[in-house]
Amino acid sequence: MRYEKLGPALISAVEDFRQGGRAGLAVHQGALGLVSVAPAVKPARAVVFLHTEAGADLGPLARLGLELNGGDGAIRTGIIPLARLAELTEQALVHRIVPAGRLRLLLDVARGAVNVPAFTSRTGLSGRGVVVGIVDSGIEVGHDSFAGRIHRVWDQTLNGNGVPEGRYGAELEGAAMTLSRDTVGHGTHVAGIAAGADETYGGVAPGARLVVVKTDLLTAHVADGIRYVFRVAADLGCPAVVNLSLGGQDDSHDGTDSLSAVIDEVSGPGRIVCCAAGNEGNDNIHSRLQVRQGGTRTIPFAPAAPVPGGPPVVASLIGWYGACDRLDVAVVAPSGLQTPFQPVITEGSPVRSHTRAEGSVRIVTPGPDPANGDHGFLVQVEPAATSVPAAACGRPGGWRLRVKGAEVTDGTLDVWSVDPGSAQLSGSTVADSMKVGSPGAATEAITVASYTTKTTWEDIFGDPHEIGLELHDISDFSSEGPRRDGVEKPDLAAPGAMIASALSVHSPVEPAFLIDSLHALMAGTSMATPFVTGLVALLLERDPSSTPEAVRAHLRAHAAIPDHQPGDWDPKWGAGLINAWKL
Amino acid sequence: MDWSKLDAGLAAALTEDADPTRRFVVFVHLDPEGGGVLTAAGVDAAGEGQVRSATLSARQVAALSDRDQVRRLVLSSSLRLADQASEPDT
Repeated sequence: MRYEKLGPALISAVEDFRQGGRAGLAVHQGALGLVSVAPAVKPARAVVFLHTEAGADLGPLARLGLELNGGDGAIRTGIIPLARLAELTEQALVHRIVPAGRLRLLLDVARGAVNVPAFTSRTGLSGRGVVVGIVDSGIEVGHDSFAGRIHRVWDQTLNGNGVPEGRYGAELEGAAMTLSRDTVGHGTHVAGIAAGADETYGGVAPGARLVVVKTDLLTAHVADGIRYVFRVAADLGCPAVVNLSLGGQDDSHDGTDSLSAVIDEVSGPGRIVCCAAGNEGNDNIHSRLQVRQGGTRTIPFAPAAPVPGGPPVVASLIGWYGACDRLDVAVVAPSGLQTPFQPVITEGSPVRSHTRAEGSVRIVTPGPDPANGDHGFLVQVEPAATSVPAAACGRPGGWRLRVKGAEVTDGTLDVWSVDPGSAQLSGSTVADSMKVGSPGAATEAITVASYTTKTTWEDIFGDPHEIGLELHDISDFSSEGPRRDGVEKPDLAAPGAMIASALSVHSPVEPAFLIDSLHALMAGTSMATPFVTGLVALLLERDPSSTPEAVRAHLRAHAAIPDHQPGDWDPKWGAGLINAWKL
Repeated sequence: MDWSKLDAGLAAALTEDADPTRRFVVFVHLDPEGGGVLTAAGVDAAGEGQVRSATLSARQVAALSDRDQVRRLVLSSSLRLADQASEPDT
């Protein structure tokens, strides 16, 4: 017996089988795919995954009693008599054998945790007559969870004549929808949570129709996608809810950015948008500080180290402060050399560029933004390949943003790193707040934080895993509010970790997150958002003319933070975890 | 070019890239009755409200920024999918 080829659970079962025969297998039957355990005509067998070489001919192994299912990939499924297992492990083409675990209903854990099954069985609601719009990485059109319910796909990444909302991409219907592929897997997973129909991993609104936009993630095109979904839904005579499990930090964090403005503009009775709060809860991307008249303040930041020969790294910082103030902006390079303080420039181009040995710096200080009257500035730093490593941030020699109070009445300044992967902030002014960017900051959106309902699982091979999150608590990665203007975002929390849902066959998946050939686990406010999107679809089925304000208030009234008073709001929890029971 | 109508990102992008063939995906913020200015400028802009999306050359950005009906031109930024890329502890 080549034990190194066997999964741990199968080794345990085989040993018990050797020592106790069929009776020894009884303790394993609940967890493993063992068949014919009870005394019967057939020998005791196990349903297994068999790792081999892609394209390998395993037909000759039938002599060992191996019954394989279809497929010629590197991982096959089949049934093997336990008594012949030792011989099977000796075969060169057999790399590994792991038992098929008996799965638990992981999404049901999440749904049950917030009483969705009780709500749907009491009301009979399924989302029928409602359009769920998924603006995301696409969808696995052929997945059984969506059979017959995907009405249309607008793939913005394909060549085509587009749609009235944007003359780019290709609109697909019927069999042609398979031309659009979800090569990321995110959109398929999200769609499954919102509206998947699956006995084991069913979504919240399995009766809803789906309109899908595979987006290129540009904010303007996401806006076009939202308009598209609402227009198609209107053509069908259906109310619609759009799911946006995406976000960014390149905005004023007060809901006045362009994408948020579009969401506010197009939302209305029967037209609702749900947005992710974001996953920057553990990232140092925001600083809030007070600047005094004539005084200077400094924010250290660490650009990611550029990889020699790799793409350039640009650390982008944005700052926002009140209309009545004027701040001058400079950047200090690791050598200590500083750019000139740059005032607000209202005549001509507000862009100034500087080249230093450590890298290039661009500072943009335009006049007030007409959308909110406030001042915003942009700083972009592209470190040279030989510049000081990121670890030097915060110590003498690191990059620093300096601001000086030229005209100060209020003096409150907020600074964000646009991309946590390109730069993180440090120093005493870093604040775990106001990290809900656009589109989660949109006033009319329902913005969703993530709550953890599962932290341990077994993957497709029966190997156990645990994620570093606190069970039955708000997910630490979930971004904190409120908005810069104090408006309460996120609105509420829903299960977002670890969630099992539909898998796109065209997407790569870490084996540890693979549950079976059709489902995978993911985590994020991306997963929490479609949970609420599904609930909104149910509420729109009940009242197709519901307004965003009414639905948001209704959901928030049925949410609660543990050990808090009803109606309390918390920057990370929002109004708390949704409880669907009495919706 | 009326630079005061450009957001910081678009101003930086226009300064950075002198390639006349480059096009910018932008939001165009209009006066309530300003839709006609886009048609007159030969711009195929999506949407019907006061905030439209369009793909413009640097010359079109400059031309539109000088029109009274155009309030603001904002460079479209790129969003991220909000899933948490995390590693399980096996």
